[in-house]
Amino acid sequence: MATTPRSGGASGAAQRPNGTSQNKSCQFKLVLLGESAVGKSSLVLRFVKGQFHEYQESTIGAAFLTQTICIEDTVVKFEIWDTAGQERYHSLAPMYYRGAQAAIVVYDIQNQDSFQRAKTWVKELHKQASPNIVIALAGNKADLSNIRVVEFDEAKQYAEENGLLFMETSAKTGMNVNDIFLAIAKKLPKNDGANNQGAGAGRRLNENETNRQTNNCCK
Amino acid sequence: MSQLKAPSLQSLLESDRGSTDSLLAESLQLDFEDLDDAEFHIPPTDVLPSLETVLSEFEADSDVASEVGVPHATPTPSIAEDSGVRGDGRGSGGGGSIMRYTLLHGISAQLASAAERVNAGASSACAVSAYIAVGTSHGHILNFDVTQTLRWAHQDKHSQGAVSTLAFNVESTRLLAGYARGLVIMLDTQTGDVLRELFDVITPNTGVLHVKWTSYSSLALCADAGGSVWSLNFTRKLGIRGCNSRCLFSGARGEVCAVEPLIMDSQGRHELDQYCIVALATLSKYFIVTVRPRLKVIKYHALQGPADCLPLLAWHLVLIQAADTTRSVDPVIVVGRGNQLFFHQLFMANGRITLLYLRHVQLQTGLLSAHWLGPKSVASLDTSEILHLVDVRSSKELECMDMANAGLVYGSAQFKGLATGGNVSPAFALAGTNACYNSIVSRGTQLYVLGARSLHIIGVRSWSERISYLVKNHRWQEACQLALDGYIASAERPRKRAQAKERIIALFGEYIATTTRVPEYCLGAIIQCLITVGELDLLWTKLWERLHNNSDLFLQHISEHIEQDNIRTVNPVISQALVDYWLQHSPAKLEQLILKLDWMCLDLNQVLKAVKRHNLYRAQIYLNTHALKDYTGALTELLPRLTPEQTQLGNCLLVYVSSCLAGRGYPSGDIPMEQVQQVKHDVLRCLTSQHSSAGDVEELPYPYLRALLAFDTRETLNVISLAFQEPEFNNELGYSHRKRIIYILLEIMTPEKATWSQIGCLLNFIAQQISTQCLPRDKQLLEQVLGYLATEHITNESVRQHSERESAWHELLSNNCLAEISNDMEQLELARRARCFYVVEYLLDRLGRYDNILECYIENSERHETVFAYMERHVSTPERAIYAQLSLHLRLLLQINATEIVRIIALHYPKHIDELLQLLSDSNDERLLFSMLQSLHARQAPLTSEQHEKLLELYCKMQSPDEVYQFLRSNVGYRVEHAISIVQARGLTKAVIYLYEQQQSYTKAFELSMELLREAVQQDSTNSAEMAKQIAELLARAATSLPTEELEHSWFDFLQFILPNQSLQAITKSMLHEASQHIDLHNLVQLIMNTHNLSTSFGDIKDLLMSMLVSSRQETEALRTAAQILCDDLHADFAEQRQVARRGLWVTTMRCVLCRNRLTEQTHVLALGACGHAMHERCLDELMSDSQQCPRCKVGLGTTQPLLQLSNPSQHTFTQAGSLDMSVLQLKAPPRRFC
Repeated sequence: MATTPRSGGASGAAQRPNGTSQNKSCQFKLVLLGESAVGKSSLVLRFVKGQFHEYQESTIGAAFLTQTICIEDTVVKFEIWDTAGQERYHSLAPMYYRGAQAAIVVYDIQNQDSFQRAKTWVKELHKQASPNIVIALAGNKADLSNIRVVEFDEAKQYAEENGLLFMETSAKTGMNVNDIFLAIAKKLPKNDGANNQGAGAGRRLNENETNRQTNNCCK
Repeated sequence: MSQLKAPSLQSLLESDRGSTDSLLAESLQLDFEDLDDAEFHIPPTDVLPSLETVLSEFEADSDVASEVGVPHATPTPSIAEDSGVRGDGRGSGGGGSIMRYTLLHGISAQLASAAERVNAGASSACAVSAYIAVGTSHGHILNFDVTQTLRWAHQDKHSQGAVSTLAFNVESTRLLAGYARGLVIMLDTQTGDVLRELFDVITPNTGVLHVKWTSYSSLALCADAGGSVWSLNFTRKLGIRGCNSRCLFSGARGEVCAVEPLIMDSQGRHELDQYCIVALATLSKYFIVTVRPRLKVIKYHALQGPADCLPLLAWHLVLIQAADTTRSVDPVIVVGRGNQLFFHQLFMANGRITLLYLRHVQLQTGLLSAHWLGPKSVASLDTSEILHLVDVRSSKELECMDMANAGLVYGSAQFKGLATGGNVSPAFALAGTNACYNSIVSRGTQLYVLGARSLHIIGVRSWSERISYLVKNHRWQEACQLALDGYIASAERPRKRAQAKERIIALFGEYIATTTRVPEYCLGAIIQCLITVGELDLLWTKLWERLHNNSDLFLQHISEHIEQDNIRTVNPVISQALVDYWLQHSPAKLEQLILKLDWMCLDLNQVLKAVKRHNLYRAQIYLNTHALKDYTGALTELLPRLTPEQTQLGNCLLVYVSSCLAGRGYPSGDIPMEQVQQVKHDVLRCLTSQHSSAGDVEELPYPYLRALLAFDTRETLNVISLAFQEPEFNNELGYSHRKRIIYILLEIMTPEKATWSQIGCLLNFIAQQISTQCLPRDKQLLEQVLGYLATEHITNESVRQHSERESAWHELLSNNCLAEISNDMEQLELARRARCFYVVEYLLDRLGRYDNILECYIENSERHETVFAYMERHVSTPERAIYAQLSLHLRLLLQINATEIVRIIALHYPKHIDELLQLLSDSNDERLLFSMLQSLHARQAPLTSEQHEKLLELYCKMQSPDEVYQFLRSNVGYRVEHAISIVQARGLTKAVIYLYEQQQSYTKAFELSMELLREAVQQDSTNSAEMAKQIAELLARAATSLPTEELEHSWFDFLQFILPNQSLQAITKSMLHEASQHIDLHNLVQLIMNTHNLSTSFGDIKDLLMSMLVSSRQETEALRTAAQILCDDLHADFAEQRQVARRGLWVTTMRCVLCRNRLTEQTHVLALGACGHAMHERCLDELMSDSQQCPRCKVGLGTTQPLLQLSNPSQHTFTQAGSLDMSVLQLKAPPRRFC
């Protein structure tokens, strides 16, 4: 079972400027999209808290979570918007993905419709979202691969054709959950140009913010 | 690989060809010998139109041709697949539009009449230049000009047979003609005068196969049927015409079949111009040679192919694009044989002429001819007379055409030398079967095919001509596609692109002109064309005007293009029509279109009214923002109408507000830079305005924000939290804005006006904001938030809401936000009361009070599963006091997940197992004890026998008898006696039986089983048969350990019970069978006989009796056989003994070899070796030798054993012998050697 660091402690430590390490820190907005009941919330919950609930309540509106991970010398803070999959919330999605640097489009490998829906999400993202957005396709519920409907190769090929990251994940077993977020973090541009505030670049936590945080920690 | 591209040079050259200037200029460069010739020749003043231009006007002929029966070109299947667009704009699939077939009626009529009237015979050869000359099989030559008028005719007076070949020189002033019997004549093309008659220029007694002019104007080449090549150098010394002929290649060294001089006509612009280059081909090789300045072979290659195929040669100037992007126009030769075509480029490199291989094309069928048609395609006629047009660059076949009806003339008579007596080599004659060198000739992009009485032209249409052709046939779809392909392909060449555009506009003109009656025919294609080339005006005006009444299709097509982002603006007239059309059919689609269109082209009055009427909110917002630059109008208008049920409107507004606050346009794009600040400010102010403009007195404050919150609190707060990330909210002023908004929110969301879950959302949001330093820490605010967070009981709070509350609290704590208003201890108390155990855990952790952390997990059902992970993580840290807590909460932990906790205990605290078990047994909670023991047992943890027995006892209490039985079977840890007493106490007979069996107390087990069976039978239980079978099995198992009498006794008991029993009738037979293996059959039968109430008595015992009989018979048989064998053995033994006794013995000496005494002195004991030595046995015994060797000669006594039993001296034998009273050795037997 993969355990992930608690979001609170890790981020504070990494941003301390008094250390000798030259750690950069980046903040990325990530949005999860996909049909209802494919396991978006479970995926996030597994990533952020390492938990899994067999009977996850369906998300109302969009839930906001953060998680910090380290890759190489960079601390990457994900601001995750876990959107609701129900039909009535679909038209709200642009609110979240238009400013996002990364998106995970989730489908359920036992459900062909959810895969088709994922394809339409990808199309919409290509059309409407920032052109630099990093999109990952996640075939969730991979622990049930013996009753799968969507073949791995089919999805893999689709992902390659559309330039997506692709993994089959399982929020239940934790398989590939951290990996897919790591893969996204690696693919995101981590240029530390403070003046480059374009949609594609991650938001570098500015000095002001960092200082204040340090003060708080020392109290 | 270099790429072949169209040279513009070619067209230049062709256009220059007819002009007198160039003729003059060229004549000045002539050799001296020719100069006087030129002096006499005054160029014609009337400028002839070039042949191509005239002939392309014969387009009408093609219709006639189809009547005559020559089919139109048909596309081959390969074309349909080939969608590649060619560089010059000739579209992909030919569709029969690439090749243009024309029959030259004028010439054909003249040929026919010549054959009829002057007995000219069938056509045999032709040549094309500015004139068309046709030779006939009876030696006539007819010369036509481009208008197909016969200019002159020439008749051969020397009976030289058929005209075998004809050639015009470059300027079309001289015609060379070769005859089948070897004569070559030169004619003036203008007058038809014979200028030279050359009888003896070639190998005597052979016919002429080819005459060709070279690039040198006074030099021609001639090939004869002997395979030799001659150069004809024309002279005019002192006004007398002469000719020097020289043999260049003798047929003896390889017969030349094809000759093709390179004529570039580039007027000194090419380096190769100074050379006179000729390609020659024999049946096995092809050569490139220079004839002038001196004869030299540049290169030769082998050329393989079928024996009946002639080599084919053709030159053309082609624009070569090399890999390094240098371009050059160089001659390319195509060499064909069989079904192969090879392309080679000839060029000068470092002063040397070099031949470079370019590519190779393999065709399906054998070739008759191969000619260039323009620089990009090769036309090849195959052996079934189908003409294929092959694109050189892609090696694909573009189109094919059946030429079988043309009546193609073959030159095989010349190749076979029929006119000269057939004096040619057999290989040559065979190869010449399909010769048509002189009946198919090419010029420019046209191919001339000579039939017996007709002449045909195959032309290649240019892109534009193909469009015209398709238009003429009303194939608009294809025409449009072709036009578009050409336009798209010309993307990189602006001049060409402009031409293509013009052509498409012209096409549109033709379309408008010709399709007035069916205005909707192929509308989509033409619209696509116009949109692609960007001629929208034509679309809006001409096309639209024509469609006044039935514009639906037009509008649908236009809408499609708008949706595909091909056009963003339309004519206002169209836009009005479009809006009307979609208003009627599908307002939703109208919204899509409005969002895609530029607002400038819309009739705002009409559209705004329409969108309001049909509630097209997105379109309304789009128009408001883009056209009216009013970013708040839509909000003030739509927000008051928002109710929680209107999901679409609400979502749309939320997205819009979010976009505005992030400086983005709606639904896509960005707000212009200079407006961003203003828009953000306006929208925010509008949202937070205290009263709406039209609000009445009773209106609640902040109506807009209130409406949004009422619609969806969570999403509205998400919008705000997204907005807070914008730079505007990240300075001092921004923080005060934030604070203001938060207070407004708190003011709106009072418990009276909002539900708890909504307020919860808000407070969570605030907590989140505070903890991420997005809000200044305001004590009052914090207290309010904490007040909510610490609420002890909230009705209908879902698990999710609770966990959100917890995480918000946790966020605040971990960011030290609550330090000002309360300390950790207070917080701890509050959190406990609010059952926020996540927070409690965090606080305990922070305070270092680890001794109670486990409780937090146990109390929170959501986190039950994570408690074990926590324990594992900290199991090695003593201060976490995991064990203490574990033992304290053991019972709860066991309830949560016994397997997991037992795993941890067994892994980390194996020594404490007994202690923990004791703890549980003290507490008298048997169920927990049981689950723990069971888990321990399942993990195969080491348990004592007592624990096993305890578990067994608990099993007996908690589980079904079957489970107990299974447990007993799968376990060996208990002591059997104890187990028996436990189980017996519970009355679990089945288990007891099992245990008895384990104890080897089969009798007890049997008795118990019998009791059970009796009970079962009494109760008429259905499984009595099963039980009986089990007893039988038990007895079978007992067979090995029970004494026979007891076993039999048991069996009898069992059977005595079973046999009379009606209910067990079904199994009686098998039981008897089973019993028969263990007990005496005799007794068994006795038993059966004695048993009463055996209804099917005989049936059942029949088998038994049968088997008894069988076994008794077997026993008798066995006895008999044994006796027999015994007798046989005895007999054999006796016979052997007898034989031995009768065998003679050969002894070398009559004395014992050991004691040297006579053997007979002690007659009763003798020992004999195989070597023939004999000794007393006593002597041998005295020697005390164990070895099986003769003591004298050391020969092994055993080696000859097979030969004689005596080798091992046996006392027995001699005792027997003795007993037979054999006192003296019989030495009568002949001596034998044993070896």
